[in-house]
Amino acid sequence: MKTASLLVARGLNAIYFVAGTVYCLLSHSPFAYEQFIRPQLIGWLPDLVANNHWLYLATIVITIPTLVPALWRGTRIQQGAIAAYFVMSLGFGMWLTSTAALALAGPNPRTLIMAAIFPALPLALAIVDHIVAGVPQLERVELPRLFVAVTSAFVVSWCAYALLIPWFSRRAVGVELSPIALVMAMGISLAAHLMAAALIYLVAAACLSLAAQLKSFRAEYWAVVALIAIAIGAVFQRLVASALSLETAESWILSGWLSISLSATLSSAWLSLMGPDTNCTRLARSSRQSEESHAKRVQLVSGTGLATLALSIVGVASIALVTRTAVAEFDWNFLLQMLGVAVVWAIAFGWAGLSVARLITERRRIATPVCDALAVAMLLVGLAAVPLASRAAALTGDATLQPEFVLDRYTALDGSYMLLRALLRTNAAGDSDYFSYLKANSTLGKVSAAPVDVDFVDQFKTGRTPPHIFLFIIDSLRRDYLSPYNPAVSFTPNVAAFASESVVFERAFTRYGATGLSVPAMWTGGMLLHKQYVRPFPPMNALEKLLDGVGYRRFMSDDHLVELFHESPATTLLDREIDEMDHTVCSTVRELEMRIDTTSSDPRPMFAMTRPLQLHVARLARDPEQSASAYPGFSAKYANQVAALDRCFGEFVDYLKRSNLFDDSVVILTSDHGESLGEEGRFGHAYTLHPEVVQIPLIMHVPRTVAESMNVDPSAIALSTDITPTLYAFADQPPMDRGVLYGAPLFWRKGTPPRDRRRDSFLLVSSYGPVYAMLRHNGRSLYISNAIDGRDLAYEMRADGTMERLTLTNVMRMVNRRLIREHIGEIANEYGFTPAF
Amino acid sequence: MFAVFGSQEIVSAADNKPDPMNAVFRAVWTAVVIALAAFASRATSPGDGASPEAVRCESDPPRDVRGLEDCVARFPRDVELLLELGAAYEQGGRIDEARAAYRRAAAIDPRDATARRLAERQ
Repeated sequence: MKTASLLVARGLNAIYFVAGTVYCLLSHSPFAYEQFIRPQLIGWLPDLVANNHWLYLATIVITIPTLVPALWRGTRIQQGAIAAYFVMSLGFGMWLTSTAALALAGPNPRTLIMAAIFPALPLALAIVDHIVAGVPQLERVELPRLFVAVTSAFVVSWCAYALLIPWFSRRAVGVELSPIALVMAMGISLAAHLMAAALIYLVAAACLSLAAQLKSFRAEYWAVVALIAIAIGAVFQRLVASALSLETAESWILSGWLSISLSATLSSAWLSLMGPDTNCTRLARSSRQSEESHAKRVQLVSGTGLATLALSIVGVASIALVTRTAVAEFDWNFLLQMLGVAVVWAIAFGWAGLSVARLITERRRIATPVCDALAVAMLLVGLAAVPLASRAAALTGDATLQPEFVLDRYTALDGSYMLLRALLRTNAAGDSDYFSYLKANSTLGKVSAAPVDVDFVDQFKTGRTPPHIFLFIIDSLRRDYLSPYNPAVSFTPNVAAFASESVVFERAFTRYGATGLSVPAMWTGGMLLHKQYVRPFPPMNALEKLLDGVGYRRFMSDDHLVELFHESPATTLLDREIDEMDHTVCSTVRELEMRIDTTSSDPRPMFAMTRPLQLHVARLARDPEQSASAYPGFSAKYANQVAALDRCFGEFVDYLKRSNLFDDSVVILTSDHGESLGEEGRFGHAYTLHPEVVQIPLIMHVPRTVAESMNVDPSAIALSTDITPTLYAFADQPPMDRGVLYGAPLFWRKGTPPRDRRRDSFLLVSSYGPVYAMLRHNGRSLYISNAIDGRDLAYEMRADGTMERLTLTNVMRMVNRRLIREHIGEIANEYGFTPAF
Repeated sequence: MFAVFGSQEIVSAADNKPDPMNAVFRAVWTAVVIALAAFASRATSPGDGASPEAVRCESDPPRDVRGLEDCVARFPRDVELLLELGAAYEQGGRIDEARAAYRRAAAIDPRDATARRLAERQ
């Protein structure tokens, strides 16, 4: 009972501080802060943050009683340590309450310091626990058993995830693998698991052997703690730090600090688990007693032989299924899924490793040199697996067996291999420099930069009345969920009808993945410094300059980006009483129709803009499940919302026609980016530039006068940054050519030559991370450089407008990487920014 | 994890004599093996083996027919190269070859209105 209460107290303490650290890290990330935390999209989170000091108080109230006995009866050193912990806790509580620290968290260095302060308390508690309970003596680790335990754990993990492949293959999109490819991928995965086991065994064996030479049980104990800290640090550094876009020095310091705190907390929890036994009594325990108790424990969890193995695999598979299913659709560059796998590995290590190793080593004694030789052999097998598979694929002449493609699909099915691939990734020397350059130019939150004046005209002309503009930027709308882009879609009849009276741009791309920079860049009509945001923003807001210059009155949905516009009496905010995440086409157009009706006597042209979020991954998560049979071949929840917005969009177009506004209006239906809906296991849009994220719908209805006087090529490349220059052209304000970093009008006057951009190269960027792409060949060729994952990908457009993966060639790498660097350099020059590289 | 480390049998003293040389040797060879493994797993540097001619075709293609033909041979699915080759043939009066180049371009990208228009031109 005492052990359980101690364990619960330590567990709750750890949960509070880990949650505080995670909140600070997420707030420091521009993506999480701007998209979820600041707009308060998670309803309960602001209240929790505002009241976190009460949670802290509860944590301390639970923790203090566990230390009181040692405070009364302990040695002076123990009493001093506990008193110091109390003082530290009091100071932390006062700081937390007086500064409202968490409520002020944001993407700034102060928040990162807070993220480092939170782990200090559990570390201090762990130190106190060790001073009070003493360092326990670990029995000497037998290397053969360590080898078998680690290998068993990884083999069990591999088997468990292999068992889940049929389950996940039914739920993922675009991961079809032939039986040969599947066998090949599973073989490579097994080799990678064995390689990981070998690496862990070799490192642990070396550290423990060195520690044993110190002839101190404390040294051995701390060696084990250090090994766990190294493992946690490696996972944080490889997965979390890159996903949070931390800078190199920050990520190393934080990885080290957090891993020390977490491993110390885990060791403290283990001390609690061992109960009130003091170090002295433990030392006095005979080896025979230890044997007996251990045998009983093993018997409880293991059973015998194959039954043990089967139980371990099924148990680990169940945990893996639950962890992955719980987070897959909310995931962030696979981060949560991979952290879930790390937890599954730890469980497999503690459970399968323990029981299987016991069974095997009891039956057959294995000599340490044999284990060493096997570990080296496993390492070699792991290294040789992919090159051998490449050779085999080349011999068969079957391009679908290319290991790179096969493994990209396979990782969607095998989370354990996904994590191994991320952890064991290595870059060539040239790659490291290149990816460092991309990182040095990305997420520049702390860089101060002055705004650039973006002017598409020297002076606004007066003359004929410009057309009304209705701009619908549907957040996360994929083009292939609209019938004008995909004949298989039957649930968007109104968009289809609208498209029949409009221009459908077949090769439309967003310049930025994710909203953060995509929408502001659309307004600027050009690329921006990778910062949210260079302020004041209005000098760069070319759209606002047009609205002011020509005298538009404005209706804009009240979302968190609208503050990038000046406050103006010409502006009417829509959806003011509705949470941003609940903005829908239906609610907005109803209010907009009412506003237009009540101001119909105003002679000024109208500009209306909305960014409904009903398709956003965070919003969709709240929707009830839809029957898959209602939308065969599509994501049912997503398609259901597309159908809903189609109805309301259609109603609005009907309203414009009834009001005799349609023929005098520009109506644009587009999105700020697309969305991954399970392609190769991907969901969301945060850090990727895959085709389903960068290909957007762009459908423009233009007034009859424009249609009669201007030409357009719907098959030419169209970029989200072309929308503002095009609106300039519609308003009879011909925009100047500002080069490839800026957009150009998609329509041109009849009798004048079109601007041929067939040979131009266009940079695409993720809003929140160092992921860049080069779009070339009239939008047919997409080359992606992902500095988070440290890899490049290439796609080519098929005849039907979809994109397929290509095998990378050295020519592709050289040309595209050079262009990406050049374009990034041009943006830096534009904003007077010099990267620290 | 601690359970695994903490629950091992106690090895008899005879099996477990501290041997500093053995431990240091193990640490050294482990480091060497891991360093070699890391070295072996590093991919070749980007750009290795890319011919300058191929790079030129991709980034700054020649204007003359001969140069464009070479580039098209290297990159047969490059629509822009095919259109430029077609234009170069046309300028040289080689109308049939120009038409063939345009048709190839339109076949690769049938949605490209320019390629289609040039291919369908009589």
